[in-house]
Amino acid sequence: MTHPTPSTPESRETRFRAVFAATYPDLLRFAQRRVHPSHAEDVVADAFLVAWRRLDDVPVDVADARPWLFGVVRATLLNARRGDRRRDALATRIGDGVPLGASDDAEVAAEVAARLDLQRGWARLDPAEQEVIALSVWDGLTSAQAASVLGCTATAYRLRLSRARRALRRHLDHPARTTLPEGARP
Amino acid sequence: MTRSTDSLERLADLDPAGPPSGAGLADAERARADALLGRILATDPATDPATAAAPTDPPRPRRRTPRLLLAGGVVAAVAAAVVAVPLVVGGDEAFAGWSPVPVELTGAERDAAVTACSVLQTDEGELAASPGAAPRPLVAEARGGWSYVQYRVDARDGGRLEATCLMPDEVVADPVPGAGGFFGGLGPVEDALAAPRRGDAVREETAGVGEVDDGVFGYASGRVGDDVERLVVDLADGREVEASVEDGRWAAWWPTGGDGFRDTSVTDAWTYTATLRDGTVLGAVDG
Repeated sequence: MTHPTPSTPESRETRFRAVFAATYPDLLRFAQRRVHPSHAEDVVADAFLVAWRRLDDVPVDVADARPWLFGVVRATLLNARRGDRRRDALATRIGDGVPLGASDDAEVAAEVAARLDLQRGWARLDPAEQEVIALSVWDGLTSAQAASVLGCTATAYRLRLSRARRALRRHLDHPARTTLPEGARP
Repeated sequence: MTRSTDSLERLADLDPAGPPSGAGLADAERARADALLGRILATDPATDPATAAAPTDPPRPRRRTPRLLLAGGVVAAVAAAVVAVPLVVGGDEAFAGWSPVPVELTGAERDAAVTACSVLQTDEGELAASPGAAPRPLVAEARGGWSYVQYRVDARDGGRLEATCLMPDEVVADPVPGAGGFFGGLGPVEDALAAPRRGDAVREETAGVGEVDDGVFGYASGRVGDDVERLVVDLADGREVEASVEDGRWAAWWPTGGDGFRDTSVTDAWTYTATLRDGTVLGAVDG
């Protein structure tokens, strides 16, 4: 029979240090994807203040603490945006790396074209679709973890993810027509 | 890996936070993180006013108790027009004869199951079938006392409808509109969804949980490319469910525990194993 460890100041600090060390880099990257880089550390600081204050609510398992903290960051961002009712799209990074294994110019060109197509397709997703994909692809969460961030069931998340992926595939299969300005060369 | 995971892998390259950086933090970031940790630990977690304006807890998953969930793909794309009928069974024992390997329905059994479904899915409203139109089965299978049918039929308004039914044998034998006893959906066909172009593609178009009282099951269906001969759903709880694959369409369903919304076979991501006609096996396909 075991009992919860008494919440002495020392044990509390030890536990918080462990959570902080294990999750800070991921939480910073989570925030950097969603706010201007200059604000990301402030948002993360707010989230850890919440965790420090409510340490008893933070899941003991670090694997579960991470999505819990992601949810706090997301709640912080939603609170900040509630005033103007704006939902920001998640921007993608301009691909600047040459693909590994690319052996010739044609392969590089094809890869760059594919990335541009993907960026255009991504931009046509609505913010909610971007969010469910980002939680999986960029934040590396399982369905259950992503669901806890969004406040829905894991099944609902899976369905949203499936729909968002389909939407992205459709955008890739049927790219929007773009009109080049007069005089421009493709 | 092949097929659409290619694009998702590229998507990882477009991560606005940049590529993973090993230990994770640059020196300057590490210094600021350490300073933050010191500042937080110096505060009193119970009374410090600095935390008074802290945001609320993250949203918690809301437990729902739907009688029926139809979601995703063709059916849910027109949720307002979907006609869905709850499954009325006594619980998990209803699926006692369920088999992870389906039996394709052919001949008279196939005709009976499709006819029963079309009787059960009769609608006189906006989802009415064209008078005299014959349903065209896409998938028809049986698993231990239950038949699953997916078919299309011309709609009275000129479009096309798609219907699904999961029916126990007694309902197939004596379908009574309005009497319940089966699970199914009826809705317009979503034409925007073309067949997969890649031969080895696996596409999940519909997935969900059917629930009535404590009788719960998960289901999924979709399309595969021309090269896919066999498809297995690899559930998170370790079960392997062979899907019915007919002419590029596939479907599978499986009993869950008493609470399907917490059962790992539906709450955790399942994957697919596809076997191609040339014998190639593609594992851990994400649909």
